[in-house]
Amino acid sequence: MIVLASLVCWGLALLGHGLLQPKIRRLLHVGDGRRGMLRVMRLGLPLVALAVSARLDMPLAILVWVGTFSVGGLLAGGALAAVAVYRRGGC
Amino acid sequence: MRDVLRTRMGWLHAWVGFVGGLVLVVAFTGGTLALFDTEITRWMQPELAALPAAAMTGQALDHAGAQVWALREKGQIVFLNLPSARDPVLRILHYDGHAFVGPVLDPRDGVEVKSRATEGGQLFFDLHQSLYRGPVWGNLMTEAAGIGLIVAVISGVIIHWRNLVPDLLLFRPFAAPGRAWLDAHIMAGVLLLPFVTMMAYTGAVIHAPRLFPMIGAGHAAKAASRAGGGERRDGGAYAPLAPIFAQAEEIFGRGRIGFVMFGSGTVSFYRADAADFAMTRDHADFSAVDGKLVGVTRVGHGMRRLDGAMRGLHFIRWGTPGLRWLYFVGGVVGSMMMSAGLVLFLMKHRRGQGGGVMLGLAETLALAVTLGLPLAALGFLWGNRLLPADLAHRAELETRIFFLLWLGALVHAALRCFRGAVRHGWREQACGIAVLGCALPFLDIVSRSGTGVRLHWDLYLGVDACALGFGLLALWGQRMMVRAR
Repeated sequence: MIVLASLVCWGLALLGHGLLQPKIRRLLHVGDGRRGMLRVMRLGLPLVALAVSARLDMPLAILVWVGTFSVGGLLAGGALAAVAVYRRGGC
Repeated sequence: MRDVLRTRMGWLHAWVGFVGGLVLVVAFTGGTLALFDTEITRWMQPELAALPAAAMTGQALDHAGAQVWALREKGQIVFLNLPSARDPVLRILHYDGHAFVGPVLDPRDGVEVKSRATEGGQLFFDLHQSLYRGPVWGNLMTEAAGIGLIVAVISGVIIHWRNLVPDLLLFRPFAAPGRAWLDAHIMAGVLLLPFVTMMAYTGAVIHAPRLFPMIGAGHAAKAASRAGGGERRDGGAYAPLAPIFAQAEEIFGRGRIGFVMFGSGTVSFYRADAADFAMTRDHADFSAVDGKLVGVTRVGHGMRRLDGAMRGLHFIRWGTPGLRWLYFVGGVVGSMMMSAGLVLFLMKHRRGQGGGVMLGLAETLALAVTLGLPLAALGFLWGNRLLPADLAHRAELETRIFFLLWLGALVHAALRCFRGAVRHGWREQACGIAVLGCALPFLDIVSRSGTGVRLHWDLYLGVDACALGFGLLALWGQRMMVRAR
């Protein structure tokens, strides 16, 4: 459950990071709105993930935190790519 | 200045990445599967599915101990592996040069359970560690490739430094093929940077004494530590193991003993690798005659503890299932990232050279390690279920099936690549993975009927679901190749 919670936090944080990048915003055809919320997500959710992971013993906590960063990033990147493909009318 | 550095690092990354990558894809894929080596071995011994989960009894331990002593009296070097959460049976194991294999005993009474002989998941462990080429040359190759991986990681970071953070999640599958592969390679590489760096570093450090024998005892120490087994002892009975096991549990804690080694006149109870983050092999030695404690060896702080911590980080035997799955995903994506790197190298050089023997050879090897290896791994599982359970030398036959399939994939890749039909080669091998992977769950259900399908279902579900997942991924990949024509 802790792994899943950390994964969700990292996934959302990196999704926020992706949506803040001009290249990705152009690909997804999204405007300039909600940048503040995305910045809060990008900064805050990794800390939430760290707090959640810290409930595990060390060094398991650190490995889970770093591991969920990787997998969460892959999920976020995959989601952004899927939306970009959809916006282009399929691949 | 910066552009010159990037250009030079680009050359280094491409060549070290490609040459090392051919070995690293094999090592990474093998290591990823070896994360679940125990579970794969159990999947490959479906007869064990009929065993209900039961705690080990003292009677079983004593019976197993008597069998080990009897084997040692015959001159065999064997040890006793105790039940654990991942493998709830007793095993009398010996090293066959590649894997620890041996009979399985019922944890309730210590009686042998008839199960098929197999190297199981340890084949992948040996492939990861030494490419199945033994502890000298095989280890040297994987260690050199591990150092190559560190070089490739550092040069890759320097090349992409400027766009590392902004392009972290940039993946454009609809872009030109070269750009799409590069996006996938960079995204996976950067996201997995902590994992890949940690695995490369710990892997290289663990076996550094082999690569640099001047800083460690190297092979001589290993050989010396393995010697001395199988000695005869004149007359006299051995002390039963159960009371000694209880003493060992008082020293290391309940459920924290992993295996028992039998020396000349002593019995050593080793702490399980899963018991602690640092894999230090602490052990308590007892007299084999009267069961009295002879000594306890614990690794304190210092270099040996650090070495144990490196091993713990790399082998993750102490990890929870969740962490092991995180490692597994990291390993799968890491293998794909390296394979994408191989493809990018070939794309670049195909544009530049247009053909030639060296390019054909490079394409052949890249295809054989990228798709040929998973194909052979799935064929290994198929061979396990299709060969008769009581066939003589079946473990060797299974292993031969794996290597023959891999060799077949290499020959097929060579035929396709040297005749200018590279894309056909990739598609056909992807089709092979799709067929073997998608059909494996059905083979499992059919060939496991009558052995308690419902017992330990999660283990079988895990292996079957992974095979199905890889099969579907290969199916999707080959469809994409057809559409991209």
